[in-house]
Amino acid sequence: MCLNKQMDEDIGLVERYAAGDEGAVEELVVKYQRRVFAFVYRMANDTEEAKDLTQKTFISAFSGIDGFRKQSSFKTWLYRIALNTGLNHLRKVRPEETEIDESLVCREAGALSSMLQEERTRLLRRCLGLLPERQRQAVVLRVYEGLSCAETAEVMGCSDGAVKAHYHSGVKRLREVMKEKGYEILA
Amino acid sequence: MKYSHEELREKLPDFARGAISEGERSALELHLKECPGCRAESDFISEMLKFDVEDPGDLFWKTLPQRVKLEVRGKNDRSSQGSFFRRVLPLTAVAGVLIAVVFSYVLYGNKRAAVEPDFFFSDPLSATVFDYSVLEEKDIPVMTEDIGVRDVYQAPESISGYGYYRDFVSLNEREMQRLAESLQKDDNRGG
Repeated sequence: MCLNKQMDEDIGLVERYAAGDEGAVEELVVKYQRRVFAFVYRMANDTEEAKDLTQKTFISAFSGIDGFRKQSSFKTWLYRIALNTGLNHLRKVRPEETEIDESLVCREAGALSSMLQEERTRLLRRCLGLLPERQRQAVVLRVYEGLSCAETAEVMGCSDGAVKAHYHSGVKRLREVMKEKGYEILA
Repeated sequence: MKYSHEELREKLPDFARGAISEGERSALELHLKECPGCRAESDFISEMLKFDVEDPGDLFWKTLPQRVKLEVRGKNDRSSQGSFFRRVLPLTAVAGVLIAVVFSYVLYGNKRAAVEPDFFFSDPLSATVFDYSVLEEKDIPVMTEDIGVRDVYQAPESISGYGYYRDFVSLNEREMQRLAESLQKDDNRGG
């Protein structure tokens, strides 16, 4: 019910924009800017790049608003654009970083025992950023963005089952790497 | 409500973020006491959520909506200009072709005028300058085979009206007679 209300609100704003009300753009940006920024930040792992990607995402979204068919929610449609914008950017600037680089993890793990929590989270964030692309997307969308399996599947353009597989593989891989390097969260 | 292990496991991210209903929370808390796998995963997700995103600052949040609005407006303006040109371009092309056709017609017409026969230097009956379409049947010259050469050359001068041999070649009567005989032998072909 709440979700439907939010969808209706968003669609109302999109329709206002389509009718020429530019104020609707501002309202939608204010509503989603923090979520989009957080999402692309977790992809790019860099504040300046994330700022740039956030702006690009919104500009792409409003420039191609005709492509929004209102069959899905504006939120998932926007995430999808953010995902594609982020991926295009990452493929251009760092095409080599697609898998976990074991040597990097080892280098950082050497000093792990003396690191503080902040540094451990930095390592985990780094590992997250180096997960295989689809696994990282599933983990970020499910854990950080709070999207359901169905919503994540819509953003990623795959089935619910594929999302579950990517998500669980990603979490498992992260835990294994962290455990190997002496950083295990005990239940 | 009864949830399966898989259903509860899928709710762990929402549970860690506190985005879950009361009923689901109770069911999950019970499940976590019994399932070490889910408990470890839940703790790991909670740990992951501590990774805060760096805040880009108030200036970014406050100016982004306006910047996006201006960029989108600019892009739409450029796009509408583009679509204007896309609409106008075919019409311009058609107009250009029409102008070219009219212009070349005018030029071609002038050229035709320019080659009008110069009766001092050109043959006025030349096929290149003569417009046969305006000819009528009465204009078509009578062909020579329809005329008996004899009629022309042998008829008395007073009847035929032709005095060519007499006037220009200066044949006397006897020579005229011989010419007529030789023409007759040659079947009046004049050969």
